[in-house]
Amino acid sequence: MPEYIAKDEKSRNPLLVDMRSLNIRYRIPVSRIEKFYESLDRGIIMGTKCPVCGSRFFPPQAWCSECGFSGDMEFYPLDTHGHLLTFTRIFAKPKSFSGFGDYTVGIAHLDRENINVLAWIDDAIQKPEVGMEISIKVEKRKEDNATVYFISKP
Amino acid sequence: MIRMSRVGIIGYGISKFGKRTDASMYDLIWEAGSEAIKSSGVDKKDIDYMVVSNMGIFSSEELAAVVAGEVLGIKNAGLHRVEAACASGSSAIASAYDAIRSGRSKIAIAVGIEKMSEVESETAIELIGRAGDFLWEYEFFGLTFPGYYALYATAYLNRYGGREEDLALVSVKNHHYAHLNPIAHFNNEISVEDVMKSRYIASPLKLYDSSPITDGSAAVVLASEDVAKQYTDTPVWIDGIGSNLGTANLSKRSDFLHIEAAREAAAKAYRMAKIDQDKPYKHLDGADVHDCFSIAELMAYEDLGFAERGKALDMIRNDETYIGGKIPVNVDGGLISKGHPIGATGVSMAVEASKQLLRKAENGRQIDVRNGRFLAHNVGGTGHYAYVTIYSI
Ligand SMILES: [Zn+2]
Repeated sequence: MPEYIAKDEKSRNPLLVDMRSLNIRYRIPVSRIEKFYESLDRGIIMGTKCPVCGSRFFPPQAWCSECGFSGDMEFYPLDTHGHLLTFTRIFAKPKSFSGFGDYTVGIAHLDRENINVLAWIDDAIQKPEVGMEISIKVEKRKEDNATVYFISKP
Repeated sequence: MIRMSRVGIIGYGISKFGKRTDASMYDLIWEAGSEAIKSSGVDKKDIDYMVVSNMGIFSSEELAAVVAGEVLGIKNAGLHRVEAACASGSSAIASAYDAIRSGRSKIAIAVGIEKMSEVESETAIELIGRAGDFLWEYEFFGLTFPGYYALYATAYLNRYGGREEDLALVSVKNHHYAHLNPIAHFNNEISVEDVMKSRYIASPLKLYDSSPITDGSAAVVLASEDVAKQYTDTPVWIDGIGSNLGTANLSKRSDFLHIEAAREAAAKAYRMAKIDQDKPYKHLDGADVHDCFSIAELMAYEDLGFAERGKALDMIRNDETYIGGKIPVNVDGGLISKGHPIGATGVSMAVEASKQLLRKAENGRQIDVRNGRFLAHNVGGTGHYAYVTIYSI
């Protein structure tokens, strides 16, 4: 057999092991929401508000999907007080998160914004419960040194 | 008055589902597609339209549709690929239906294919997880597909007082029927205890609450009413198709107790098929629903109007979705045990509807055909797409 043919461990069927491996890293434009990242770096989480119809958006967006306005949306700091709607602890992790320990993801409702935020739940919350009070806080995540927002204790 | 032609399935084929290290994408398409054409009795030269459903990112061939044309030796047909994530197969059926209904096609073939095991499972988990809202759900938070549905499960069990053992009942039922279905990925019966002892994938969902990573293909040949009757006395008709979209970002949904897109799709399909939306199960003999995870089957009961909100728990606890109950659901094993080759799943539901309505299902899993109607519920992504299709004889 040529060197690129290998036997599957379980079934013993021959497989051609592709020699052309591919590593993809995307470059995603964020110029229209640059203010979000500038503020995040200062520990503040911004949403956007439509100056015409008042609709609020998180994630922030540079146009209004409700009324169709496409001028300057207003960036404003979110009132991050809210409660936890749901959560899960991820045990089977994807390849690009394989270096992380198990992590807990939740969705929180921000009471005064009527907006939901999906994020990791801070380790300080040891036993998450549906309905518990939370706030959203920006932290440097130790696993990848990334500046990220967490669902945290109020 | 102009009477629009109906559209019927006149042939179907399905490959064995599983981790098919013995078969390439080409081989799988051949298994399903050649069987579909042969059983229909049509000459492949008369197929004028071909639609292939495939998500595609798991396997080396980028253009599955052209592969399918070549494999099956189809030369003079229009061709395209469709993607609606896990509901791709139903969108292929809808596309073929539209082509025939408009008069643009007389005989069409819909082929669903996914060859998922060409990548290792960690990579498959990654590729499916990326199908959420990439920047706001995946990049920073690494959500997986079990994770998205686990968010529904936590909210649902909390709101309606369900337990993980209730979710396990879905897997127990679906494994029971899969063991009677020779094409199913898994052929073993399991107990609630087996499910409860399996490891957490994304809490509260465990390994046995989840559909596996599966290779497989399914195909159906469809024709307009006048053409269908030249080939068979018993076409399986498409009476209704409803589809609806959902938000890209899961956090923008109104609650995590149901899938709004599926409710909308069901309402549209029932209207089109003239089925009473109050107690739709009374007009159906059975259903295949999108149980990518156990919680999804429970939400489907409610979204389809088989149970009131929060009452799916009673339905599964009382065995009402076994054969002989209120409405048999997923007696092919469902996605959990038959397997979920993403692009093939919706087409495999059309194959199952045909087999059941023509009374050709295997011993022990044949439903009673009284109303002559079968429903397929196919959800893409986290509720991003939903299709409900109603088949009849
Ligand atoms: Zn607006």
